[in-house]
Amino acid sequence: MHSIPSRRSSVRTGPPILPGIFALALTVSHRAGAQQPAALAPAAPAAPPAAAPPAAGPQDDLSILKQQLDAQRVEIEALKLKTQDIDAQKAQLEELKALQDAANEAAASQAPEPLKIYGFTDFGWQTTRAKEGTLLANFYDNVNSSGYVIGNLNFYFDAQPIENWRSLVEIRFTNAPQGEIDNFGGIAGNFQRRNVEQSDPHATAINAPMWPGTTVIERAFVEWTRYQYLNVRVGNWFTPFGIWNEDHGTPTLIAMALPQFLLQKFVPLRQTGLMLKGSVFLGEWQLGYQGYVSNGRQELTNYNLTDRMAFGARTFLKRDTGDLNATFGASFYAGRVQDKQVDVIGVNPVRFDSHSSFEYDEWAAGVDVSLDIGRTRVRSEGLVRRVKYRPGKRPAANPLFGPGSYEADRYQQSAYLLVAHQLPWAGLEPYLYGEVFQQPTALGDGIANLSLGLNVRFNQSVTWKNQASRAFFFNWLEHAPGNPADNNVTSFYTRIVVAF
Amino acid sequence: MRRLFAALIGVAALSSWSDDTSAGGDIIAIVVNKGNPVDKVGKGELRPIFQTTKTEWPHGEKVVAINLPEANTLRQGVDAAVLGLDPERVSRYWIDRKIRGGAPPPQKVATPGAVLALVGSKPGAIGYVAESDVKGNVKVVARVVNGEVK
Repeated sequence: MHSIPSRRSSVRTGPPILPGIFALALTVSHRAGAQQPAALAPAAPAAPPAAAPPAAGPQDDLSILKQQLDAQRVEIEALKLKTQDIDAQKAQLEELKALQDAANEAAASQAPEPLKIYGFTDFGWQTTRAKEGTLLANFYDNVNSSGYVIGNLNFYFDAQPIENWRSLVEIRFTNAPQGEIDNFGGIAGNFQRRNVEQSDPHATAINAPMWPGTTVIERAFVEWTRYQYLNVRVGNWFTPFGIWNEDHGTPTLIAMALPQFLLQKFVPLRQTGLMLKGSVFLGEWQLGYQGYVSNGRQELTNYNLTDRMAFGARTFLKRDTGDLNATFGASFYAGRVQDKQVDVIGVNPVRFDSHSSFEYDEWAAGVDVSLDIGRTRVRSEGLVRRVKYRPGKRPAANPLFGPGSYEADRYQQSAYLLVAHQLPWAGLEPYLYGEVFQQPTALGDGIANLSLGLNVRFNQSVTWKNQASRAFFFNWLEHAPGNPADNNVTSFYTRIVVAF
Repeated sequence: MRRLFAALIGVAALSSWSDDTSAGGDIIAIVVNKGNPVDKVGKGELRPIFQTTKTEWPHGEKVVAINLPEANTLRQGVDAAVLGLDPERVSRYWIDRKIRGGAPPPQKVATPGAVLALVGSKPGAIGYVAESDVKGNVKVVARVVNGEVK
């Protein structure tokens, strides 16, 4: 459709070279025609010459023709220039169109992606072996047994509806609860697993089985990220303590088994509260901080039982030069933990007595180092925790570990070192992991864990992770009854991990 | 004297030819908006910018880093020179980052033209294109030549 007017236009505005030539030819033929009759006409008596205007001579004709030709040439040159202009404009238009297309694409890219969903899952097999007759062999279902496990099925809902604002929610789906061991009749009684089987009340059959499951809110927070030196985060977040707790997720962690200080919750794994975080660059070094106030431990309730808040901070110094990525960090946490009980102490009028059955203050301090040297990765953390009970608020100790006794004030220490190296072939990454852990228990106050692992990275999303561990129990600073080494356990875990 | 001058021109031409057609391909120009007061950015600053850990320019403007798709050779050149990572390790880096819940990666656009348009229109934006393609409202603050940031 567009070509038609353009053709017309070229006919109308094209250089009139041919008309010019026609005009020249006609003029020449007219002159020839004017001469022809004179040559062919019959002879007639010569008439006296009339007083006619002098006829134009050949020189004049040529001059006119030359002028016409010059005019045509000028016109042709002007038209040529015009054509060049048109070509240049056309090229400019094409360039502008390309830029417009790029701008449109860029604008489309700029449009905020309101919600991204990603996550990871892992599935595998594991076994743990302990000496028959020991406490661990009898009170943990997954000791001296082996089986397949759904490890993690975690979904992230990452919303960035507008610049400088973000909400991140991570949900873990599990097939827990699987029941707990109940104690009927006290320490000398019978211990058995509670049955969690149930029928599906929504099924057509009255006896349709249903598998229970639940969701775990791993974290859920809103973040304002306008400034490098100050971000504000509110919600539920992983405690920024050391490396491991925030290197959350099986695709990210090098080893599979968590360090004991996390399993024993030396610090709360996650907290709900307000966090300020940020960093500044000092040359190639990044100095960062995270500071927070929170509800503290949320093992009894999801909210704070008093006005007293927990608080903590982490600071780190990081330098990443590509070949060498080094991070040095220090973390601190402090809070009070207590329960709440209510007694009715009068009925007319009704009177209540609210109190706690236990209360303790705790703090934990740690340092950490993370080094990536080429393809070698080194992670290490060390921390100490202090637990001090308030007067009159010391609870009874676990009857299995210390029957008839009360919990003692204590220090707990833990440290680990992990070294992994990515081999240049087949995505192999072997690693060594060593951990020591000091905490007074009936099994001894010292635990050492040595692990050998192999990760096989099939590609950037899929990893096969394997870890064999041996945990050694021993008396370190205190003396436990019996032979702690009887409780030594050996474990093997294997998982296929997919990040998506 | 004339011969010496010709020889000098020849050497200069050869050296510039060797930059353009080295194993690294075209020179990659790191570009920012013309209104950005920053005139030069070193490798040490580019790395955290393209890792999205450095989010502000010295004058306070928010940094908007722009990446091309992973398969783009310019992207691979910048990742190798700036981050020191091959494509597979780059992918792993960003997967690790998102599983950790860290800040999202740079904004990704499909073509160098879109990079130019975006950088030209956003005061804090930074991206990269082949040096021969540099045009519009952008200026060059660094170059990747032979796999090195210069």
